[in-house]
Amino acid sequence: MTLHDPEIALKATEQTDAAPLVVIDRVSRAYRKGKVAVPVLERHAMTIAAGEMLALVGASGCGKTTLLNLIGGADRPDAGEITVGETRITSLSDGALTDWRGRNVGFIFQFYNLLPALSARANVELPLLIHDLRAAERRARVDNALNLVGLEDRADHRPEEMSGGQQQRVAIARALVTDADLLLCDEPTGDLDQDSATRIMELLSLLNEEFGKTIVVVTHDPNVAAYAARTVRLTRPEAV
Amino acid sequence: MRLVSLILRNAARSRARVAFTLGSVVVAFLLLGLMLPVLRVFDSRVDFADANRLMVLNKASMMRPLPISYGDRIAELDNVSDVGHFTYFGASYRDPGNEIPAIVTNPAKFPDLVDEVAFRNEGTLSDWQSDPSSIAVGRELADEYGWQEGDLVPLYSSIYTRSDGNPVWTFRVGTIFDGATEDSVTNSVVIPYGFFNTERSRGKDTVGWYAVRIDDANAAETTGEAIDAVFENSPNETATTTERAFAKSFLNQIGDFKTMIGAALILVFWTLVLITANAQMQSIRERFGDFAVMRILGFRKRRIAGMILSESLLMMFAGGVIGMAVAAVAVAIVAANGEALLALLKLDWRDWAIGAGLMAGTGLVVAAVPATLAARQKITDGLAEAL
Repeated sequence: MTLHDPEIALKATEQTDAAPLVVIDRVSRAYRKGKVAVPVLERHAMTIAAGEMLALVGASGCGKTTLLNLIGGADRPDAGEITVGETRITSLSDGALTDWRGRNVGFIFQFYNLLPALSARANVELPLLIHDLRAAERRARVDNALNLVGLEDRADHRPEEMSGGQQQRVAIARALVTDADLLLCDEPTGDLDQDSATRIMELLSLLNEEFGKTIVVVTHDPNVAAYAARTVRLTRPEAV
Repeated sequence: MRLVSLILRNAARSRARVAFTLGSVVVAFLLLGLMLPVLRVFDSRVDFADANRLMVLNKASMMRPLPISYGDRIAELDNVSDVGHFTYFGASYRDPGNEIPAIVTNPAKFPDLVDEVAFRNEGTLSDWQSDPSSIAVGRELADEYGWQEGDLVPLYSSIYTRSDGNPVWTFRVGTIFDGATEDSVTNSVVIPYGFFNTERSRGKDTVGWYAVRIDDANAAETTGEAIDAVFENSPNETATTTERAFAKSFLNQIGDFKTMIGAALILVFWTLVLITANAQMQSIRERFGDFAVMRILGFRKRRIAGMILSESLLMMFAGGVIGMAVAAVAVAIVAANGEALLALLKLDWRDWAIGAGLMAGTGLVVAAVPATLAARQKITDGLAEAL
């Protein structure tokens, strides 16, 4: 697979007709810098269809990562509602939100965020430790996830013993191992060379097309955004 | 992988830091393990001292004797139920440097006045009490030198010579006594006063001190004052105190040992807490990003805090058990080769219980702040720290 034409991809921003998995309803989020409230998202509304691959693009500070964190329940909005599937996650308690996140969302970060003390296998197994699974089932799931990302032969290596691309594939395997429907990727290729970035995006496309995963990718890179069926460009609200 | 495995791998992330922190914990608990038995032995000497037993000493100096005639006059006083006397013999066995504790007393009263010993063989007890030249020997001492009832034992006295000028006294072992409790000391020799008083070349009809059994311990002070009043303005005025007060004041003479050891232990532990807290904070701080990732993967705050507390407790218990185990071996070696109080040293279950309590307490205190910080941090802040 070759990279898509970024210009064509950026135009593909129309809403899909599929049933929405994520509904973002007039969500606002601001950060405080001293006494000044800096709005990052203001009454932002959008939907993401189940099985969609969506790119969030925009200038630095426009709220791409903030929106991603809000969708994944890693942060809470100041106002507005977010519903994922049947769950209004903005109404959940902290503990319930954590449990929901562990079951339903896979996160992939720019700098992989693997635990350095653990092998690839242990990193992938990490999200399963809080699920009530037997060791054999955990092992089978980890093997499947590592096979899917093509890293079965590096299972016992630590992050420091792997390339950036391999580490990102481990992170993808970790996001997949709980069979989460929603994968949230924050600059997944931002730290990778072009070949590695291509492989990662091909892998994410495969997960979207073959496994029906709903994928939201935050990126600055038009080449990466081009893999998405739809691109949403965020703009920065005015400071208060 | 299990959660325990995850905790272990996280704890061992920086091996050098783990080694140094563990080392400080080992040293702290080694010191604790060495000090606790010492404190207990000193305490036990005070505890053994009987509040119902008064000691009547020469007011001028505890080294100066008192007349034997004082016994009858003390016995006539109110609240006095029994009176015995003791004299320090200054014994050595085989060579003058090999000193052994030996006292001279009235064998008829000794079993009643001294609760710390037990005579399990009535036959040999009466044999000792009826034979003026026989001695009673503590079990530890008899075992050490292989003495048995009937053996003749020559003892050298650094204080008293016999009437012919010979400092060597030969006694027959009349009976062997045991300790009333496990902690009782049985490394001494008890010599009958009658034979000793007849045979000695000087100081006849005097005793080292009196032991006075009283009925009411609450009236110990007034009874002591009454005794001292009887001998006031005599050539040998008395100073009466309870055995417990005497034991305490004796220990105070060599410094407030317990306070000093206690202060040293507190300083060691305070240092330990600072060192481990610093190391722990640094270790947790470095892993704020990891904890944020774990939170985002579905680990609840409580679980994160639990992991950090477990890590800290693991460190404390690993280091603490190693330290106290080394101390147990060291104390056992000292006790096996030591004499008198040193022979009583033993790291027992009470010390382990105190140690375990301190391991748990220190582990929890050290981890409390970092665990709270790690659990409370916002995921987004933690992820930002990881960059």
